[in-house]
Formats: sequence, structure tokens, C-alpha cells
Amino acid sequence: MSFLEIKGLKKTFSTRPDLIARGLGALGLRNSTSPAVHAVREFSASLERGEVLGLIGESGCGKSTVARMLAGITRPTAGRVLLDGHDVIARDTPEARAAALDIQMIFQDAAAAMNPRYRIFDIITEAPLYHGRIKPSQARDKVAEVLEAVSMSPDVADRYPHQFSGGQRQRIGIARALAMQPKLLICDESVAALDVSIQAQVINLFMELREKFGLTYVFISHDLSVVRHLSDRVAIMYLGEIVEAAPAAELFAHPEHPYTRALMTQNPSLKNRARRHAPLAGEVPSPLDPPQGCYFNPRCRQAMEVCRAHHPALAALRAGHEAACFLHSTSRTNP
Amino acid sequence: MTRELLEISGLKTHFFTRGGVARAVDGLDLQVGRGQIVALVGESGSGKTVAGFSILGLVSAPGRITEGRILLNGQDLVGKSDAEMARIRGDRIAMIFQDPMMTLNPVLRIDDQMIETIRIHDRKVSKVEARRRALEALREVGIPAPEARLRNYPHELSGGMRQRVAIAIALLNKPDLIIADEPTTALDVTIQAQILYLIRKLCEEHGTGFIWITHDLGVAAEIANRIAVMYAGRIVEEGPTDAVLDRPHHPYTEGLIRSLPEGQPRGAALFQIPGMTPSLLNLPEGCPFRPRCHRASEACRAMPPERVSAETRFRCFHPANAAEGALHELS
Repeated sequence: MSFLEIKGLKKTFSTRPDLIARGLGALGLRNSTSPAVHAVREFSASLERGEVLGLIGESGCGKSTVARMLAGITRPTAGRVLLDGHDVIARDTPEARAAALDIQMIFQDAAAAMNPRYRIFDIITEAPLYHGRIKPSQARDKVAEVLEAVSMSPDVADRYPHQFSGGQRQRIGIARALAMQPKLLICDESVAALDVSIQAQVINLFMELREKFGLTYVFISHDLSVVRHLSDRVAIMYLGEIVEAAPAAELFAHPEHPYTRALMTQNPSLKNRARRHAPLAGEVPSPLDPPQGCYFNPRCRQAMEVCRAHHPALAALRAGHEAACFLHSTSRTNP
Repeated sequence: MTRELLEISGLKTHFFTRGGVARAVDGLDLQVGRGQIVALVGESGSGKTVAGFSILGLVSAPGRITEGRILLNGQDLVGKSDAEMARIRGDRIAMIFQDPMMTLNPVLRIDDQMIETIRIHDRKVSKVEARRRALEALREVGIPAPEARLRNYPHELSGGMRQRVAIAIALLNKPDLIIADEPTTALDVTIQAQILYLIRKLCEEHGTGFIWITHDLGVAAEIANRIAVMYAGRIVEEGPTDAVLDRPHHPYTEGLIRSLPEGQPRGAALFQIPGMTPSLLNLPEGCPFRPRCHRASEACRAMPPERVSAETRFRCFHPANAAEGALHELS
């Protein structure tokens, strides 16, 4: 069994019908089922200790919902997440509850993830003190230790979040996660808001920490070159499901799904000067009303008859390389 | 010599704050030709947005333009009255913001906003004619079912569609110059690619000059004819896109390019520019990049003059990628 096993994770958001709708429903005058958004239809992945899983997708593809479910912020509708064999969703044993704390999250907007009235010291120590991972007498040393790990001086502990730049706040956010002695870090667009020169510093920091603490990462980004740089495995998501997954080197060398290919040619690049070819048309459809068949078929230049009628299932093309596309496999599923 | 569409020389926009004078733009020289796209690249605090606002006459207290000229078609915009600038904005110069809701009024329908933009600059245009032009503009930016979209409110459109509407509004009066501040930063990759493609096409067809403000060198590489790199209120390097990206002279430009993961071996440590962008209130003397520069020397305690190579101009005493003989002081 792998270090991290994610099996059939699903999340459906639905609104409770209002009073009038429920009344009409009870009288049989209106269908009382409310619209449901299938934010994540199906997400399975596994990861070995010390590996980085990169997750790529556009807005509405469900990548942040996956992150929040892994971090225990959002409760999945179905599915299991096993860390070291412990079910961190059910959390039905003391070991599983401890394992759930081994997963920590680093957000895109560090400022929004910190209490502006707390000093850095309190921001970093609140969780480990509450969960008993450190004793109050160890707090000072722990803060100094984690700040040093992110290349900041222990003196900053007595300041407030607003006194730091965006890059420094992101380091503090990482230090806070490290204070829990995590095994798995979930990074949701953690470098997206940073300036180019600061982004390189934080990416290097993630790689250093991985070596130093043996950390495993789920790294979510819309930036292909960042994901390619950091990840061992990569999954591409579209409208709530994985459309292609493979080891990073393999995926970037041989992308198979038309959506993956489109992303790769359209990601801004220093090499694409004065590009002329027409881009992928259309937008990501609403998850409230996904298209028939393959969700990508309305935007796909290679769409066939079968793509409009049936939904392709993720199928292995080669060892470790899976794609959900009728160009490569005939396997289908009911969405 | 033919006049450029836009010629900015020695522009200084300073903010007189209680903490001191913040020199957000401190001696900016920039030219934009007709149909040309110039990318103004810089990190937060480099002054790129204030530069854009200065051209539009949108700098408000405690900031003001203290020096310099902004010539649009040979006419100086510095010193124009608010009323005169209001006539120029939206007509000769248009702006596209990162967030299209900065442009769009949430309580007005798209057609009302577009008709207003046309008629406020030319009362003689009838409402029917203005509506026809609005429809044509929406069609031009590739909005599907433009007739129906005209009757929508902004919240009924997706982010990508809103940005297209904002671009359509910018185009309405066929401006000479469009200033776009990070117009695709909030958009998804595939939508961004659509907008980049669209802008390139429109620029060529209409001969509109474009200043594209961005922090993203990849976007600049794709869209721009020329790239100007800003640091601490000045352009530190400027030239044709290929020259700036392939043969950068300024160590800051070089560092920015090298710090991108693109083109690096997977998992290798990225090149880091140490430190962070300096506070504008407390700039180091001489070259502002000196404390972060690996090539800095004693000479850098003085402000480097602008120098030119065969292709680019830059401000540095110790340029990279340059045979010393090929460089000249700019008098």
C-alpha cells in the first residue's frame, strides 16, 4: 500500500430547497430535489512517501475542493483517504486522528489565512499547543526552529502579519504548517500570488524542506512549468475529474489527452514568441450542467461521434500513464 | 523623423506621504509606435501601474506628476486640465484593468454602458447607431450571441466574457492607445490564450498602440513587440522582445529570466535573486538593484546612466551578455 491512498473521493454541493419550494414539493406541485454541483465527481490517486503529486486544472475543475478534502476542511460526499494506512476522513481511531493532523495546508493568500491580531508567535504555536504536539515550555524553541527552517530570523515572532511582505508571509505560513511536524503538505496555488523573484525562492524552499523533513506534497497550481519542476506525478483535472495522470517526465514528454495538449501549448512561455495559431475555443462548462458524453467534447478539435454520446473512463495507456479519452481507449463510464 | 504615437520622456510621478516622498515613477522614458505592443514588465512596487495611471491622468493626491512629458500624437498630456483629460480618456486612450469589474458598472446592462461610452464622447451619435457599434464591438472580440449579451448584466457573464466586454468597451471609440494592466492575470490559461490572440489581431488590424503591464515574462514574450523592464520607478532595460529575453544586459532582467522554472532541469534549485524589492521610501543610493546584484561593485554607488547596445538600452555599469566595446554611453 502506498503512503497516501485516495480512493473514489467525491464532493457534491447541494442547496437545501427554501421553505416555499419544500412546501410545493410536499404538495407534489414541484420537484423538491435541488440542483447539485458535482464539484469533484471522482478522484483517486496514490503517492509514495517523499513524492510530489502535481494537480493542474482551470477554475471550477475541483482541484481546490480536492485540496480541502485532503486537508480535512471540507467533508467528502464519498471516498476514503488513507495516510500510512489510517483513514483520515473517518478518523475512527486515535492513530487516524493523529494522522489527520499530519496533513497540513498552505494557502494561496497567506494574509487571509492568518489572524491579523495575532503575533507570529501565536500564529505558529496555536495549533501545535492546542493539539498537544508541543508543550508551552517548548514553544519559543519550536518557533525559532521552524522560522529558521524557512530562512527567517526568530526575532520576527513578536511582529504582526501586516508587517511582512507577501513572500515573507508565505514563509510564515509554511513555518506554521511545519510546527505541526506534518508528513503531508497540501499546497493550493501557494506560489501563484508571489512576484517572480520571490516565487523562485519559495519553490526552492519547498524542495529543501522535502529533503530535510522527508515531506510528501500535493501541489496544486495552474502554472504548468511550476508543476513540472516540482512534481513526480501529475494529474490533470477537468470539470471534477482526472482526465490524464502520469509521472511528470512522461506526461510532459508525451501528453495524450487533447485537453492536456491544449494546456501545454497555451501555457505562456518564453519560447512562444508572437504566436499565431488560434487558441482552444470556448470555456469550461458549468458543473451544474455538464455536456453530454465527454465533458471536453464541445471544445475538442478531435471530437468524434462517440465523444458526444458516451463518457470516457480513465484507462491505462502504458505503465503509470492513464487518460480518459476515446482517441486512446474504448473504456467508458456513466458519469 | 516620424513621430511615435506615444513619447514619454523624463516622467516623474511622486507620492508625498507622511512617511516621505515615494518616487513611484522616477525618470521614465518610453515610446510606443502605432500598432505596437510594448510590455511593461516589473514586480510589485516597481511603478508599472503608476506609470500607466500617469499616462491616463489618473494619479490623485498625495501623488502627482512632478516632471516630464507625455506626448500623444505630439500633444503633451502633462498639464492638461481634468476636463480635457476626461475627453481624452475612453476616446484617444483607453484602459483595461485586471479586474473587469473595475470597468463595468454592476447595476447597468452591457448595452447601456457601451452606448454611454460612445455618446459621452460624441453627442451626435444616435442611440440606435451607438447600439449598432456596441454590437459590432462585441462581435469583434468574439463574444458568442452578442445580441443576447447586450441585454445582460455583468454578473451574468463569466470572468473571461467580462474581460472581453471590457476590451470591447476599450475599443469602442477606436483609441490610438490602450493601456492594459495585468488584463489576463486573473484568467485561466486557455482563456488567457484566447485574449492574447485577440489583442494581437486587433492591434494589427486597427493600428492601436498597446502598453501591456504585466509581471509575467511568459505573457510578455507571447504578446509584445518590445519589452521594457521596470525596477524601482525606472526602466532598467528596454528593447525588442527577442533581444531582451535572449540577450539581456541588465542583471535584474537576467535574474528574472533565470529564476523561472521553465527550461530548467526538473527539480534543480532555481536561480534566486536574493532579497526583495526595496521600499520606494527608502531606496539605496546609486543603482537601486545594487544590494541584490551579484555583479555590483563600488561604481554602482552612483546611478548608472542609460547605455545602448546594438538592440537595447539599459542602466547598468556591469552588463551581462555584452562585449564592452559594443556599448555606448547615451548622451
